Amino acid sequence: MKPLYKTLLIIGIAMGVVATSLIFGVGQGMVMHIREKDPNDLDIYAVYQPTSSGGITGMTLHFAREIAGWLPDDVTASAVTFDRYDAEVKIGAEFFSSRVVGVDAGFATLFDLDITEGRFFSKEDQDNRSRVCVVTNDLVDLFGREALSSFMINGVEYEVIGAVQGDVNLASLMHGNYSSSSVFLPIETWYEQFEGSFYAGVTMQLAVHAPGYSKADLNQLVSQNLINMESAPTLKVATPNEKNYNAWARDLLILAGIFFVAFLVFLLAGLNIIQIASANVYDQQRVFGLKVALGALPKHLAGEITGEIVACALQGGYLGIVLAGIVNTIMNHYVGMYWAAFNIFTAIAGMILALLVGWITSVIPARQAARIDPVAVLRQER
Amino acid sequence: MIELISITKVYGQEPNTVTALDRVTLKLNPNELTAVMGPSGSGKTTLLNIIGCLDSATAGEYHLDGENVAGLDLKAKARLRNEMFGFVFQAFNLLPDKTVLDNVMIPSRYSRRPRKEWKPKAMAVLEQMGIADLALRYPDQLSGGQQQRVAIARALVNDPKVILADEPTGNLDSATGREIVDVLKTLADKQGKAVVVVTHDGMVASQAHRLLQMMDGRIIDDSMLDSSSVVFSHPNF
Repeated sequence: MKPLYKTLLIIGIAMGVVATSLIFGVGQGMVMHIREKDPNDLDIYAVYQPTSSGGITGMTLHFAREIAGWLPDDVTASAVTFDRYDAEVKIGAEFFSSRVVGVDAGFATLFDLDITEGRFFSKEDQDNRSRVCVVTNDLVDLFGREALSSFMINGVEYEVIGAVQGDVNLASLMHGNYSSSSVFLPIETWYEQFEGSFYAGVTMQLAVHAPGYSKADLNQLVSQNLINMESAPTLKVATPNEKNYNAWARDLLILAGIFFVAFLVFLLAGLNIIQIASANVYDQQRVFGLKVALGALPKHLAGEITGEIVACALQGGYLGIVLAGIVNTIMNHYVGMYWAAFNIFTAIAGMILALLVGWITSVIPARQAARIDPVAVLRQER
Repeated sequence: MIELISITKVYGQEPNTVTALDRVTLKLNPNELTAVMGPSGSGKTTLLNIIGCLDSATAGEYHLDGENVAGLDLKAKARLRNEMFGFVFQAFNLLPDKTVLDNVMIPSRYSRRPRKEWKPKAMAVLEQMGIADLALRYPDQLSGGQQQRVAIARALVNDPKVILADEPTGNLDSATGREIVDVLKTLADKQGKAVVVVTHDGMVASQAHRLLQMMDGRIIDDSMLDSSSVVFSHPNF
């Protein structure tokens, strides 16, 4: 094979490997992304009412308590309000933007939060409408224990009785947007604090920790109880990350787009290989004709052409893997770490596919070579 | 060894047909250098291609060592080309990106010969051609005469019974051409090969044991030559 064709083939196959590596990388990214959404190992669900009166998503605290009563003894639940991001929180002399959430006493246990200081509020605090709150450990680190001793929400003083640490975002469930600067209040106190606001009287969801229960199990349980209700509302059981469904769908669309583009590049690379290999056969038809005259069978020519293309595929494969690694690194740097996974499996898969492409695309040029009439091409010397 | 009986070759389709060979009957024997002469278009190369199983006759019989070649399939004909025939071309047809040794080994690659024998055999024929010292050179580093010797070595590497040479001296000066004809004659005289040389050159034909003259696809003269024979090139050739 002429050096020019060889170089073009190697570049073509390298393009193919980059494309296939992207396909596999993005594919792996998609799988990892989907696995992140897999709720099976969390055992945490949210029961919520998609629409209620006034078009507000959520349910009353009373109804949340009623639902909690439907659940088996081995399932724990906590009513959770939406996050009051507009609450005016004053820590010491400073005003601080914090999210204020009303929860039940069992919230910390349910979400496996570590109590790093003090205690979480109790059922008694809830019943007494105590002006107590629990903050995240980040707030303690930020302001110090002393500053937190003077803690006011919308001008009302609260006693900080403890600090927690853990995956607070996980507790966001369906519609909340909790963060490491959240403040947790007993849910009844929260209601009292914010009574009169637009959302007063509406609890966002019931967080449920149900080990050994699937989403379907919980759906069935809820449905059975709704049947007996007069004008029963619609209830849904969701997994924590389903709140990001729209974002997830958008990500999926982008990933599918990348996959599609990579696949097109992959196809173009394949066509490129066929074109170059065919041009090589045309250019060297006298050589192939000579070989036929010297006793070569079509299978010999096919073997030689396939061998040359596969050898190029190996060289292009190495180049492609290096390029794919660079592309993936850049992509992950700018787009996010879960987007395209690039590892040894991606590289191996890319190489195998490149070799397969090399092998498959050699069929057409090999057939062209096999059809060469040695008499016709050797006559051209005259 | 080779017997052609009323071989006809027609190219094209009715009504635009060209008869390249017209009922050619011929026997070729070992130890014989046969020169084929004739004007362009007389059917010399077509005859050579049919003898070498590169092309098939439209009609007639072709017997090689008693076997009818017409009935053989593609694979069997390829095997014959590889084992029974050695081809030498006017333009040498060496692969420029391969060394002399690699060029000579090409027919071995398509043969049933064990791989370990390829190189020793190739070196042996290069030795026989007197160019073993050029084994690792590339064709463009050789003179025309050396390149044709390489081509002859390639033709000999599988020990064929028949050497078919199409204008082997056409690209060479007369002195080098004479050397090449001497080599071909030696193959017939000392190694028992049947050598068929298509040529326009009277000097080449003068060295042959036998001269076939062709015209319009027919053999118009088939004569044995002796050392005193002089053959003149036809002015229209």
